[in-house]
Amino acid sequence: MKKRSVLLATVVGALLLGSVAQADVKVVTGSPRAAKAIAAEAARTAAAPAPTVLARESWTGTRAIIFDQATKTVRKPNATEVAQMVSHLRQMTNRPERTKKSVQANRTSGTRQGSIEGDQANVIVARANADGSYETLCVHTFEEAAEFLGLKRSAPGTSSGQ
Amino acid sequence: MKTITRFLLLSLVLVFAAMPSFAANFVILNADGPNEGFNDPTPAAPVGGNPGTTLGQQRINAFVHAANIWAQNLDSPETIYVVAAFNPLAPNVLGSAGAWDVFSDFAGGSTFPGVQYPGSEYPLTWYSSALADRRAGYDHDITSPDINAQFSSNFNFYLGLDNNHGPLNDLVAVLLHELGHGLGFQNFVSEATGANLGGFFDGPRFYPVQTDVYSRFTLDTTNNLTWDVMTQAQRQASAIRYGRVVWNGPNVTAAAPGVLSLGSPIVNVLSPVSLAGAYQFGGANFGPPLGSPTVTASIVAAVDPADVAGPTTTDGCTFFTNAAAVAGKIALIERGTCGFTQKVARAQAAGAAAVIIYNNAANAGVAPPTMATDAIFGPTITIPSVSLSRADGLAILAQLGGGVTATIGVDNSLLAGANAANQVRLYMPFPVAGGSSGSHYDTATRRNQLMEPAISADLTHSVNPPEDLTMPLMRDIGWFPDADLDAVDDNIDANPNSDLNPTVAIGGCDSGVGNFLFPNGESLIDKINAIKAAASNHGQYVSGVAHLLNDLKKAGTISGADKDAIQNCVSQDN
Repeated sequence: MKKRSVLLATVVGALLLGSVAQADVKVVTGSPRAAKAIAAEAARTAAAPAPTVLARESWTGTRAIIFDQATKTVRKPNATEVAQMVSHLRQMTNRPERTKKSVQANRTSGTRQGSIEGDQANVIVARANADGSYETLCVHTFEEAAEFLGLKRSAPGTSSGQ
Repeated sequence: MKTITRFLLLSLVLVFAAMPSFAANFVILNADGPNEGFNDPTPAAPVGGNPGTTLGQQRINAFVHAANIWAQNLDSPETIYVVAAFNPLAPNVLGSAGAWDVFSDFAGGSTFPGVQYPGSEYPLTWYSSALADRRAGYDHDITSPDINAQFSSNFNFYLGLDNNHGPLNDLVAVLLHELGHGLGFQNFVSEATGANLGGFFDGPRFYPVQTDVYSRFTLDTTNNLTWDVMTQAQRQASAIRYGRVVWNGPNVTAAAPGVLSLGSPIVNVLSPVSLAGAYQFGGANFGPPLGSPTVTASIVAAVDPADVAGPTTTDGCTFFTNAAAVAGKIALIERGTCGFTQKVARAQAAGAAAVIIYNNAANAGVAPPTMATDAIFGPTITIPSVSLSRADGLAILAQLGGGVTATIGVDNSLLAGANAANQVRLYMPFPVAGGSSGSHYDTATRRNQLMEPAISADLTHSVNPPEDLTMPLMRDIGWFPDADLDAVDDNIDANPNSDLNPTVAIGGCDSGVGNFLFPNGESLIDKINAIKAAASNHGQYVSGVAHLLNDLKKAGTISGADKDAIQNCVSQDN
């Protein structure tokens, strides 16, 4: 009796429920929402130090993390690669002080909006193993990425040693 | 006929049971320009179920595949907008993603008749945009995306959809992980300072810093406080309590035994109480694997001569002068001067059962290392050894006078990566790892989890048990609100606050008939109450219920006696 009840109740309920929702994924180009994000990213990039400036920060790659396709070996990054990594990681982790963000909208409904514009994003970095595979790490700060990638800042006044 | 009917009914049940009663829609906003990223026309051979014939199309297909996995598992009336691009990034920088906006204190809307969205569950609590929209039932900001993401166009990702990535990094797994953060698997706390997100001005109005929904489930077991009620200083301290901070959500805890394997590698101090708990440790690339055997013993500080081999009496570089005290115990040795293997070899010679090497002053700020082996002492080591941070080593050292007991090995009563209550550990390493801390499951989890800080090669593309604990966490933070806990999510629940009394009780009269739930979320009592509310007089009420009970009796759902008992109560109900 109990099983029949459950069975029927399930069927009745399922029919009452009508159609179920279906997942859908679309790809759209030229969206204003995307334009807003692109503009924010451009602003973030513009606010970050230029690669040439960063290169003068005298960072050194101390760990073999680059898999060289030609030699099939893992090597340390060269000066150009280090500068690129420092530059991009600075840009991608260049976020305002969390507690001093000034962009805020208060809705009349009482809703509070924190327009962080994606600046709490996590960044995936990787370092190569000898077999050509990669270890990855999901990081949030430049310092953590630098530690994982073996990027060391030289003491002020010294050369990068590269 | 009866058999056919039963078969049809059973078939319908199976069909509906197999179909998800929820879903979400995603829109991937292509932010790439012509001939780059998603639009890269470079010819590519189809790979691993990805039929694209250009690099750009394959990237689109992988993105759509990952988004579709989330779409099939999440539930939202609002489209989730992900703005995405593939850009040339520096070597070994693979990409980034996160929530675009956060919202708090929002009310729920009503998109469809009878469907009231709950709004924010907690006051003064940030929600990531996609989750906020889902709980509100409307798009909070129709001009902005919910998630932004960019990935490297010059990194050699595996673009197949079949997870057969070999040594390459699987783009779909990376996307699933990063989208997971954007969908709510992240706090908005600065672990380095303990500061919550906030401090915003809106004109003259200042908003204080406030917690986020993820932090409300982040529990420090040393003080039994969740991060939302901690002071900034307490959060800062908690963010480096390896092994002591867990996810305090019922869905993750309930699912953990079906996902994680038994047997957790541990360094646990058992006594005194002030030191008790799990410790972050580094392993050794020499000696037996941890757990072979598991050692429980007192800890004794090794003492050796301060000599040319080692300038202190704590470095363990020469034969111990307190060998008798160390024998059968766990030897505590300070890092430095000589190799790890040499120290362990000296402890082994003294008869130690296991060894703890804690960081020296020169390494005070770094994590416990994985200890390297060598060709001289390495092959001779037969006892287990681990490394600890300097702070932990000194804390133990300070208590040795009163006796410190610890276990080094594998605890087969614990799920790998969980505590004794099956609460899954969050990644809280020392030193603090910025945003990685807190917003990931601990690396001690086995099997490996999608939301660990590293993308493991053995991940599946599942976000659900029995492979993965990501979706249970999404449930905990409110992706599937269910106010009456009837297992029918509120947005599809015909009565989100059902009367779930075990028996059908009407107006003080208990019929004794079992109350039951219809799959639309209404209980039998709800249905009777709805008829009563709609009736203009008592006769209409009694008649309406009689019709309902007759239908249920005809369908075989209730018996004639059940019908009479309920009808009797209804007749007495004014």
